[in-house]
Amino acid sequence: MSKSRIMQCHTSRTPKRWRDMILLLLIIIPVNASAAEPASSSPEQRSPQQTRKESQLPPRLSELELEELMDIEVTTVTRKESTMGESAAAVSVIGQEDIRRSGATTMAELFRRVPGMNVARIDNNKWAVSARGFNDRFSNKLLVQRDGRTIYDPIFAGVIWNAVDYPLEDIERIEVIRGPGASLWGANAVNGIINIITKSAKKTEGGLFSAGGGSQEGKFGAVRYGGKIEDKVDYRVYAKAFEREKQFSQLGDTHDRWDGASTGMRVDWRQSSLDSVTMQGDYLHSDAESQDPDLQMTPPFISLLPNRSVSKSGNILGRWTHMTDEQSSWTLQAYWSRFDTRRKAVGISNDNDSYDLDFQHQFPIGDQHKFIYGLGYRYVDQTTGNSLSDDGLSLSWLKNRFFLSTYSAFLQDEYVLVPYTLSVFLGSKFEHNDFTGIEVQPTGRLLWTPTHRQTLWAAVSRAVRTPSISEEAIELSATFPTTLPSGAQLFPRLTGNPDLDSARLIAYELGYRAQVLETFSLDSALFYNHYDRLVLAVPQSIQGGFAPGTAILPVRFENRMDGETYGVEIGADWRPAKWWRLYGTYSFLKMKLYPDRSLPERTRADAESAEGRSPQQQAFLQSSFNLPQDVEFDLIGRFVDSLPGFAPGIPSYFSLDARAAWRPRKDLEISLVGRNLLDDHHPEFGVSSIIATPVVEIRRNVYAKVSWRF
Amino acid sequence: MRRVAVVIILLLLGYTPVHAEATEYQVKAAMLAHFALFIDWPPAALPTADSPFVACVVGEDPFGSWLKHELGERVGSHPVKIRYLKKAEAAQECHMIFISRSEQGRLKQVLASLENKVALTVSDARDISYFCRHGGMIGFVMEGRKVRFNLNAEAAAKAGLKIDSKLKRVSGSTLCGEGR
Repeated sequence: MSKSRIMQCHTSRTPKRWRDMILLLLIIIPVNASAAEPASSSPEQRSPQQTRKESQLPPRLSELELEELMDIEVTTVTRKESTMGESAAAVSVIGQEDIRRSGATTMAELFRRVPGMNVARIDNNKWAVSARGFNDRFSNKLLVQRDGRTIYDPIFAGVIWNAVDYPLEDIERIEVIRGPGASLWGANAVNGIINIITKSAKKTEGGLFSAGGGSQEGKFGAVRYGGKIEDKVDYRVYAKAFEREKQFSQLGDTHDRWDGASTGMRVDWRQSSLDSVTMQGDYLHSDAESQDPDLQMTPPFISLLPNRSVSKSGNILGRWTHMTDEQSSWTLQAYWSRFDTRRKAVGISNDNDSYDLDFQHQFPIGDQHKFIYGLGYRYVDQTTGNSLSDDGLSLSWLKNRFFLSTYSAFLQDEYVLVPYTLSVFLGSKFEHNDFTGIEVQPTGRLLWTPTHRQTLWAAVSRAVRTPSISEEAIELSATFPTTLPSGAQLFPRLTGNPDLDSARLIAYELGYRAQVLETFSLDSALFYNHYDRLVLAVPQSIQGGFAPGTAILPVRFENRMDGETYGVEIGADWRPAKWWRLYGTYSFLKMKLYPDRSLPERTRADAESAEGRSPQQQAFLQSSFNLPQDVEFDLIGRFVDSLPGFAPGIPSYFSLDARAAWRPRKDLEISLVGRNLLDDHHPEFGVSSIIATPVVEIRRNVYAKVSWRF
Repeated sequence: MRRVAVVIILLLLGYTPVHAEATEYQVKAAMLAHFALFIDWPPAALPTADSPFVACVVGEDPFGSWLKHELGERVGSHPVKIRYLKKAEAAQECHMIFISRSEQGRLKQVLASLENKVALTVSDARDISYFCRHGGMIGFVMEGRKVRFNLNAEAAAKAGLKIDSKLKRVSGSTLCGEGR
């Protein structure tokens, strides 16, 4: 589809969409007035004479038993606090109810509800996820952790989302922090941190079976069982499997099927009220279809090869937490994780083993200081394989094995100037890595709670993004060529640079949170980020080709770009009535990149195109209804701005998801979910900057699911 | 699509929920009514059968009309009076004192000024363990969207209040200071 055609059909659709939106709003607004609760009447109004009015009030809850009272769900929308408590950072918490009611079937989709997050589905098994810009399939400025274990592929310093397929039902909460958290979490926690926290085994007693199927989602099923080994020891085990179908492409086959299976366990031992020990582990198998460019010695020299990426990953983690007294505790954690992936058709393999040891200790000093420090060591053994089908012509490495050590220490002091009103946080991480040596990542934060309903915070932080293995050592020639005046095909070859330095960020942030009413809360953040020494690909001089009629243009990664981003993120949570919740977010992002002026214009333009690959504006609105007969009904509307940084550009889109769920019995839930209901298919992301494959469009899809607790 | 949405929304407007849901402060007010019944004040505090039972709210009032609604006209045989106080020092005749979240920054002073009173102190301040450490007796905490409470039995006993064993049983008291 040509660019003009995409734009055209977009504009012709827009007025109708807007009309729908306005109509919806008109319907929603008058409801609020009538949905106001009788509770708002002041005590004076209820004089003894007005007994008739009294009879209109809800029944007295104090007539219930205390146990029954404790079982009532309250309708207040307080902001969920992160495990760090009231924090001077842009933190959003995704709870289990949010996860269940989102209708999401994969991890990455959950982050769409968080303002400031950029989430795009590339195809049925690939995502681009980042915070505050720089979105790409190979995003490298976001840190993702699950129960304290970093999920990270050292090859590109990012996350392969189809290898993070843990059961969503086991998640207690996901804490998403936008902005740098490097002072605590270290390098690569540059633009954001995602902490996935699973439920303790005690909370998953009994069995859970779920299964379902639908278009694109294919078939899926999962089973979980938890119980007690003895009085203080709880466990759970799970297994899940799925077979996903394809999305849509204008250019024939999408090659994006995805099968997977995983299993895992968790054991929690509460030795006493002071000591607790957790052991957990998972094994995941994923078989994801893809299309990879492959070189040949004869014209047209390059073709797209249907491929399968088979990955196996496993991990074992142990953690011991000891409370020394009510306000002091330490945690010792160790894990091993392994990730092994093979691209079948081209014969590329990568595998790595990571070993990590971490210690944290927190304690107060006097009344005014809360101190926390940590020490960490990580060792990574990474093997990077050449493409075997063509003797490394498509992909090879300057080095095929890496042994990487990272030593780190951090400390942070919360200085309480006025208790519960004004605090200053000062802290820094000190980290030594094998690529760039020592990195210092400090932060200063101010937290002001003028009233118990309002919080203002401000922060200035420095963070770095250390180079990845591919930026240091890759040699990738399987990129699409341009034709030289001589007629020869010029193949760019991405070339690693062992002298690469860290990219640096100074971030300025400001936030405001308010509990405006008992039923309305608001969270907003402003940021300005200044980057320097960002990495871009710089063309070197042309070399002879690998076959007659070809030439090679090495393009080397260099730290020759500055950049700035700024933006606003707003989230609001409102319960207009007991049975109705509205949750909405709005995000604005502006990205400016400044490649070195001495670089050729084409190179600068290529690098600057990343500005247009993260949406400038995004909006999210979820309406959750609790209906009679234990029926839940959710509508999720989203707007994502256009991505002009791709060729062809990706138009903006509105999408609508709906979920209806019914609990005929307390232990049984039947749900029906429809997604992308507004059109047959639309693209969410363009052609990747590194591996150029056809754009895949995400289809409307419907699935049904049954969950049974036993 | 639009017609479906309209129909759905119109259908919804006709319904009120049958769920066990209520506003947070109605539930908390109802729990206060239970505390009044499950706790025995010494005879000196409620000398006669018709001595008034005084419930006080210190700081910003979060209850609206719920407190009066849930406590009702009487606690046992005692007529109920509700007082809204700006300062804890004014809590002379109170039997039960609810310290609002707005007092978090002054909790220590508020509790110190109540130290020698025969009164049950209850709060839903942000830091309940801090409240309990400084002599607070019952702290509300949220567990998901459900209201729970933690007891500091020791502090209540010190003030001369007797807590019914049922209240102790249903409380999740371990987080409440030394009073576990």
